[in-house]
Amino acid sequence: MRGFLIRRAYFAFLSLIAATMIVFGLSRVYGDPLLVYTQEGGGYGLSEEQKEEISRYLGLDKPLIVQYLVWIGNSLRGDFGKTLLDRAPVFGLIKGKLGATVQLAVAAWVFAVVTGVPLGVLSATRRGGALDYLGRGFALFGQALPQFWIAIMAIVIFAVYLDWLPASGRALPGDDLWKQVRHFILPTVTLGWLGSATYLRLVRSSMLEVLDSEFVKLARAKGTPAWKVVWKHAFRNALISPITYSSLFLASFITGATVVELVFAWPGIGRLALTAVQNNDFALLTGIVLFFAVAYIFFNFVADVLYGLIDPRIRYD
Amino acid sequence: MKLTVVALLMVVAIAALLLAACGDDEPEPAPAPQPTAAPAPQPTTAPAPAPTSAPAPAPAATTAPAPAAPTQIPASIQPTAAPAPVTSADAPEPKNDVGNIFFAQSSLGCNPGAGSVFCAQYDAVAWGVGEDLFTWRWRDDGTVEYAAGQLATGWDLASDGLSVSVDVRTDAEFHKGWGTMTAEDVAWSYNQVNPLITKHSIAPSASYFSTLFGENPATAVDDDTIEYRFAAVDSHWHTYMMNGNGFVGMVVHPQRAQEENGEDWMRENFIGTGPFQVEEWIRDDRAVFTKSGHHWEFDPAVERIVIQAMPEDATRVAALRTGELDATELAIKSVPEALEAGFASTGSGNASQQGVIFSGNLWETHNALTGEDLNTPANGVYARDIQWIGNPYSPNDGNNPDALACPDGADPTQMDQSCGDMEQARLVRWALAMAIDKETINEQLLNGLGWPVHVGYVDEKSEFWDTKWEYPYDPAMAEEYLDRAGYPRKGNGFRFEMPLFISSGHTGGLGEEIGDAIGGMMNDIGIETSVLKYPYAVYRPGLVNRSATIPRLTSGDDGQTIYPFDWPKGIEESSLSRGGYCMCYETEWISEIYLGVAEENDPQKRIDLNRQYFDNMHFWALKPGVVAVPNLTIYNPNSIEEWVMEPTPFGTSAFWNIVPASR
Repeated sequence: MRGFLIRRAYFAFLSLIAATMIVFGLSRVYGDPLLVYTQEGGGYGLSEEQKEEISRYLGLDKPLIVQYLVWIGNSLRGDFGKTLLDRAPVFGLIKGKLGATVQLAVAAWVFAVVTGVPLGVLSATRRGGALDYLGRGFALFGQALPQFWIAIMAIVIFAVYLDWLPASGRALPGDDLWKQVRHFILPTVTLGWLGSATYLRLVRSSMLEVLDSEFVKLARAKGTPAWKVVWKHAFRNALISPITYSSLFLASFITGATVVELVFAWPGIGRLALTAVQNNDFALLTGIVLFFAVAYIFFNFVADVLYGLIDPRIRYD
Repeated sequence: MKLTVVALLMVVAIAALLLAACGDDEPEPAPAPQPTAAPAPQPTTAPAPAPTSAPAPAPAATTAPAPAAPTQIPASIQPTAAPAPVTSADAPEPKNDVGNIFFAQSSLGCNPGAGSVFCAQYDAVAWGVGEDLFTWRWRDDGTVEYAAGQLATGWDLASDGLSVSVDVRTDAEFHKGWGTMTAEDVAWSYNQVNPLITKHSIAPSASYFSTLFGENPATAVDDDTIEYRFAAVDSHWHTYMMNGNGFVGMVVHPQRAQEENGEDWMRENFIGTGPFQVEEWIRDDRAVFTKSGHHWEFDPAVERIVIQAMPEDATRVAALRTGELDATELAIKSVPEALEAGFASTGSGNASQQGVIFSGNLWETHNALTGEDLNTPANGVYARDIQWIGNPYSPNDGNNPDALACPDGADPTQMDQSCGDMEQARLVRWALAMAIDKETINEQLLNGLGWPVHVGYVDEKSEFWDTKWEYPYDPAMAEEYLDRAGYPRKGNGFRFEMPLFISSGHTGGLGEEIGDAIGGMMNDIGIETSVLKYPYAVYRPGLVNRSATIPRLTSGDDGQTIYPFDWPKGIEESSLSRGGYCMCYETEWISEIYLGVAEENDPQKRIDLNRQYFDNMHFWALKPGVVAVPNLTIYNPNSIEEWVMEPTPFGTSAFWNIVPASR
């Protein structure tokens, strides 16, 4: 097991180095970051001397490889540099938005698990019945409908027509708990539906496979109660792939919530990334992409470890 | 059982979605364009522009900036001085407490708390948390006073026009106990922005200040007087010291706060003198303002303003309709429906004039300020023959019809001598201008709330508008021009290819739709058009380097209806803006007219010079217009009884003028 962990950690480290190189390189591909100061609405006549001064201030006067190494060194100390526009610490900005994104991601993950897993079991145990078709229909829509459309329609139905839930945004810090919760519901469901549908399909197919296995037939033949066969014998064995996928789901909810954050005006990292792209704020963008890369590599590592823990055949490969 | 309920709910929801999606009436087809007997573009015998090398004037001593010519605000966007209170049974009951106003717009920039960083200080001043020396105010007759004092109480311009003494208020209090504002604070704030004094300044006003002041620092002469020395005479110097209603704006901050806490602290803690103070400012999330309680002029009726960043227009509409928002900026196409639903509108009296600019027409040979040789052909825009770009350096390049060939000694940059490649490209630009159906775009995409623009920076709502600046809508004539230019339709039905750049999200997404419409109209006359939509940041380097050649939809900096006709126009259309943003066509006559207007103290002469600017611009068709898009803010009349905005080119303003509705 120790060797397996070291191997996985080594590959994760290599992936991280490659990610930082790609992230840093791409951030400089399409133009001089200094040109951001000549933004529309101002910035006329910035002289070469002024550009050089700012260049020195931001460390952009050094060769690219030196800039990269300095950036890596600083990043390891938690210093991702400062944004171009307001010179605010990138790490602080990411930290400030991280809470909103993680809260939403965890809520969506919980929603996906608590809806997708039971529905998957029900769908498998009622194969060919109405519940199976409903479950598969739920999964079909969850996987087929684009998030921005689900989000807008959810707002139209549940906020505008029914007036049950708020249309957008997080509640303000001083608002009561119920209001805070109400603000979570639509973004959570919108973000989590796809995950829920995927869980449902994974659990259903795993359950069908397990329910058809010899040991389940034996349990039934022994007269074990149906619920015990399903939940104790079959379900536990069907959970291997959903559990290992869980960490990747969580990673994708953290890094892939941009659309939901945009439509629901949720102040998370996805929106911050979008603004960074629009402003050509390479310092902010590289910080965010690095964060996403680290998050994904970390959760991928966790998934690998979970695989190894749950299925001994993998860790002894 | 629960599953059944959930399933039923889903079925109902999906059915409702489908109904909602399919329920709209089929839009009526656009009316067929009526061909008109369009006048041809000005023949090549048009008079050359009159010399504009006006000598620098020696302005008489004055106690006020030269008055700007009044600009008539179009009735459709003009707020009234005292609007009748509006209430609506159709509008929702507000969900926020009385005295709290929740407002949303598509984005919220960084905290503009420190003067030397690139954050939107014009928002801060338009909303009422920060202030500058001058402002704009409505006059009773609906025109705009462009040089009203805000923190300034008086000023004395030197007879040579090269310095000004400004007296400032002594009763303006900084927020949160930072004391009374002094002339020292004002001078320090200005010097923080000027990059020739504070070297790392990247404030939006930075380069304006370096141009206006040079290396001359603002100096506090006594407790309430500041002396500014200009690098050169500029008749509209005060517009650089505006509260955001001028070009860019800045905010006066307390010097002591930065000295005690440092610039990083200032960045997170906005301290100004406005009627509201900043409690919280989280970019791309929210800003919260509360009444400061000790403003020298205003005592707002609203206790708290919450500004939320909501990128999606549909979300803002929904939040308005549920009563979560009291006011919001909406995409113009959403406005009629909101008004029908019982909401009310107010505005800052401005519309942005959208047009297509033809970057790459770099005809100026020497920098208008320094005289330096620009060596323009070296930057690559003339490396290949681009149909809409005129090349004055080798006008007989062999790609144009013989009929357009330049005779010996001709100067093709002159209106009466346009020939060769210059004339060929001018015919193409004219064809493009005549193929844009502005009325249809306005009717279909703006619900008729805008109006056509023919030449950027002026339109039919201006009292100085002249119908001779129109480009008629005439696709047949456009095709004829393209034939004359030597671009017949080829076997595939197209004459040539052309990209058109629209920055993503331009005018709340409307720009992208306008771009698609223009693309279709170009295809109709045989120009195969690819509409490119991506972030402005991607396009910007090409502008700064003067290598951009792709036509682009934009209003430009000066394309605001509220700007006076007699202001200098076109700094970004000339070598004067080298080193920075540009429209990226450059001509000698634009530089000359700009400098002439900037240095001219007589308003009538400024107007005459700008008429010449539009004559030339119309002839060369470097910036054919499309449509003017008004800035409107929609509010819930059950939350807000009355809201008269101050005049500004920047959208929502004057939260201090909100009168809450009684509930």
